Amino acid sequence: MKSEMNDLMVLYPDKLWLDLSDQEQQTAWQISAQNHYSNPAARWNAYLNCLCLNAFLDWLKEEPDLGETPKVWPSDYQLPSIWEFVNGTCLTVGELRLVLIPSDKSNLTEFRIPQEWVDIPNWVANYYLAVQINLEENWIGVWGYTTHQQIREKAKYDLMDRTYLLDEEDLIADINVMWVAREVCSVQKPELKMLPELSSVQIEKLLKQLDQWTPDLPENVSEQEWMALLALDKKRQDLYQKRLAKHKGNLVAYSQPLVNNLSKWFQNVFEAGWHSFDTLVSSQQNTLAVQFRSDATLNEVRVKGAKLIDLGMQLRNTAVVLLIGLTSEIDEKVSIRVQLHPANEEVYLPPDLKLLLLSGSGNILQEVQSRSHDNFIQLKKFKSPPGKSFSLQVTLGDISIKEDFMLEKLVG
Amino acid sequence: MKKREDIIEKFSTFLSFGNSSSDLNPIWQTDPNLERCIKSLVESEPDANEEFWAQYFLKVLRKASTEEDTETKANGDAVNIDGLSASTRLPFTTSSLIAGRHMSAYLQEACLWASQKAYQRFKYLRHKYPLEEYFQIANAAANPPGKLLKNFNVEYPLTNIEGYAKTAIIRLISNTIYQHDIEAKRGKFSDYGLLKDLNAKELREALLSKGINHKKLNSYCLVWRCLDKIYQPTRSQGSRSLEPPNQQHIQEIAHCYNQQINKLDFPTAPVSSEKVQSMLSTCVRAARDYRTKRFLSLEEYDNIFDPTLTPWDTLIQEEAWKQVNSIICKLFASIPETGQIMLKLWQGLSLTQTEIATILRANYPDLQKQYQVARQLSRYNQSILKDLVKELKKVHPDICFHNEKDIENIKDAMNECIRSHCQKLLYSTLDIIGEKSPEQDKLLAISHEIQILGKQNYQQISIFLSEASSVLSQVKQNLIISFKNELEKNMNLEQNSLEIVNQKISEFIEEWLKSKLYFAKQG
Repeated sequence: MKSEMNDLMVLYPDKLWLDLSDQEQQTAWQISAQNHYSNPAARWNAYLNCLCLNAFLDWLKEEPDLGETPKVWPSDYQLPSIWEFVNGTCLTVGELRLVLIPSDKSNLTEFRIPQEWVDIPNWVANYYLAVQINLEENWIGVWGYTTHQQIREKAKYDLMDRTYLLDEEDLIADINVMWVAREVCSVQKPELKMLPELSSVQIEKLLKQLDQWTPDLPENVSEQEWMALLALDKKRQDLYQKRLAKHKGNLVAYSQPLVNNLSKWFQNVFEAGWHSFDTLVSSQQNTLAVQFRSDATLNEVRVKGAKLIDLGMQLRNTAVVLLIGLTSEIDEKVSIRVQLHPANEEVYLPPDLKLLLLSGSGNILQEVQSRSHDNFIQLKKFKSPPGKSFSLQVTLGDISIKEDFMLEKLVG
Repeated sequence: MKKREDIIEKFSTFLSFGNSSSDLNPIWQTDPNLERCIKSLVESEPDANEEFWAQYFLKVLRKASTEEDTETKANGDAVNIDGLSASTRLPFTTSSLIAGRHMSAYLQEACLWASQKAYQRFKYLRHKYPLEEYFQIANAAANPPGKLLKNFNVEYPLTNIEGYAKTAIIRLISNTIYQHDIEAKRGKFSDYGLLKDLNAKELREALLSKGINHKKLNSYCLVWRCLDKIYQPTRSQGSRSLEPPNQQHIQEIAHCYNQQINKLDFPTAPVSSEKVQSMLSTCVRAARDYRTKRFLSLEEYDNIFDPTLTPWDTLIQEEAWKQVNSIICKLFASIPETGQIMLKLWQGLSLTQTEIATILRANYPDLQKQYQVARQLSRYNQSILKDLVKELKKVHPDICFHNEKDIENIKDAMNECIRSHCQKLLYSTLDIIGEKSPEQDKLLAISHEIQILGKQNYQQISIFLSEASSVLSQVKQNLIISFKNELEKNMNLEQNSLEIVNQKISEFIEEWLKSKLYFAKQG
């Protein structure tokens, strides 16, 4: 253990200190790195929140007297559509709601709680935890917590970044007090303030005004409207998707679209992110290797390429392996087999995961969806003539990842 | 140094460490002006106790600060003065300045207590501070007293001002050390890494101390905020070594700033990229100075003189928490034995959780790693706290713990009581060992000699002790061995498992010896 963390435990014996491994950092970084956020600020925000949530949830789940399983609110899959807009992650333990608010600054002499977690009626929580992350020294500290009531009574509102502000000394340092208070005094029902109701015209207008990231709200959108929009799960996800699409659109305009050239695979040349089957499988655990190798349908296949895909909901390592097998046929066509397997020691795929085959023009040619206990899913074998392109798309909830492929005409 | 006894002394004297480093015995110095004031107050209300006066001065301070707030409020709303209910129309007139000084004097013992505790508890940090330094830090933390006692609840019967102040000061000492540590690390940050590491409050203070006036302050803060939002690290280790932002970032910051000034109604003109660049450079300089300002070169303290044999500690008792203390003794006995053992190692011997895990590992399969120890300790603490609250409710049915701050106050007192209870238990183990030991007579003789010398002066005690040092160190060595054996047996530990914490055990025994030598006859 790092001496820094030892010192901290001596200085602040009442606070909760958690180790943060390089591995955890790497995983969270890769996950937030993918194109799930429309801007660097949101991506950084997602990275910190992801680290914070994973560490705290692991710790909380082992809390023996908890009684109920802690859950991510609203759901793992919806987190990106929160982290795109706001710092903070909400957990529920039974009726109790906690919001974790991470910061990577060295000194937490003040605790800033984004307005959204306090003023959006369905986002409001009982407790707000100030979580400090030190990325260089590899630790996470729960610096203290406050209650909704205390924020209402004591916090100042800072117009500049729309946060509620508390001094460090107003926080309660020991989260044990939280569990004791839960039993000893009745938990205060947070006092709610109503937000304006948005008409569908207003919503459409807002979605348009907000579809591109700006460091703060555009001048013509009020805080009230903004929060009223975020409160609507469906609309918030729409806005998130719009932003992503717009962001990706911008990227495409700058750079060449990345197309995987499958013909090169026959020469063992793979595009970035793709590996030959053997390379990837050796980095994964044995079960996956066994699963692949024992799959007769793939044995006849000459070339196998695989890619590890993080689905962005990151939590609990939701990653899958997309596997493509190629066999050249006599008629110059190539027959293609596509499978999707769970990664990282998981036995089953997450349910409702979709694998789609799209034509070059974007029409859906095939679609399969996982059920609750599928070890893998696959498309029907298909053939693609040289010179034609196709796409594969993997979709789960909000997240969807598309890969484009083409086969060159074989010369000679 | 004596403990202050009467009320007049308590509200008018300050502790002084003297100038010569050879004389480490601090003395009480009287402030004649304060002495005059408190004398006349005491004459008019001879039956009032110290807590009454402490609360009275606190009320004066609170009233003054509320009035200040009211004056600065343009609309002059009626303000409800916290903690000043109908029962407390102030019977005397004292200026808030004087009241503050009285409070500072009163809190001297709390400061001393906190600095001694800090000195003991933080002995094993990588950087060490001498006791005087802790006392200075404690004094800085206790002033102004109104701020220190901001969250103290006058209506709450279970704790008094001194007790509250003690734990609050300890907390602030921790913060100061943490602050020093951050300052010591400033060299590891690039310019923009440092700028991004500051929080808004720190930036504001940094700019103010750089002489940026209030009018301009908001503009600078806004530029910084735009930077903080727009310019993000591109590696997972964070922002410590961030490069300066490029031209595109600067333009975005200017754009963001110009949008925001409209929205926030700032009375300033829009800025160009060049202006942004120069404002950010000012912020960087302010940040560097700020993180340097209170930084003391800690290396200087490597060879500090350890006032090992100064008998202050036991002078200051945990009077503030009597009631809590008696409940804790009962509750402690009721938790499982493993819990008692862990708490004794943790709070009694000041072992770290990592050390505890190493010691218990062999015979306690559930306690292999630091985090497992941490979790168990926090479970025991939680259950003691829960029971403590229930017990207190029985004794004081009128108290309701509706606020988490109330519970936290009790918890701070609880921690101190558990700590001192664990130490007492270990001391009594040592007492038994000491009585059986062949050196018992030598110890008594030395102690007797000190009692006689004690009436004369401190310096002679030092000389005497250095003469007796070889005997003492022999006694100590034997005690260490017997104490370790006894603990290993009682706590069901692997043989020699306490070897790794020899240093801490040795210091613990030294503390015990001190208390024996100086106070053997007193109790």
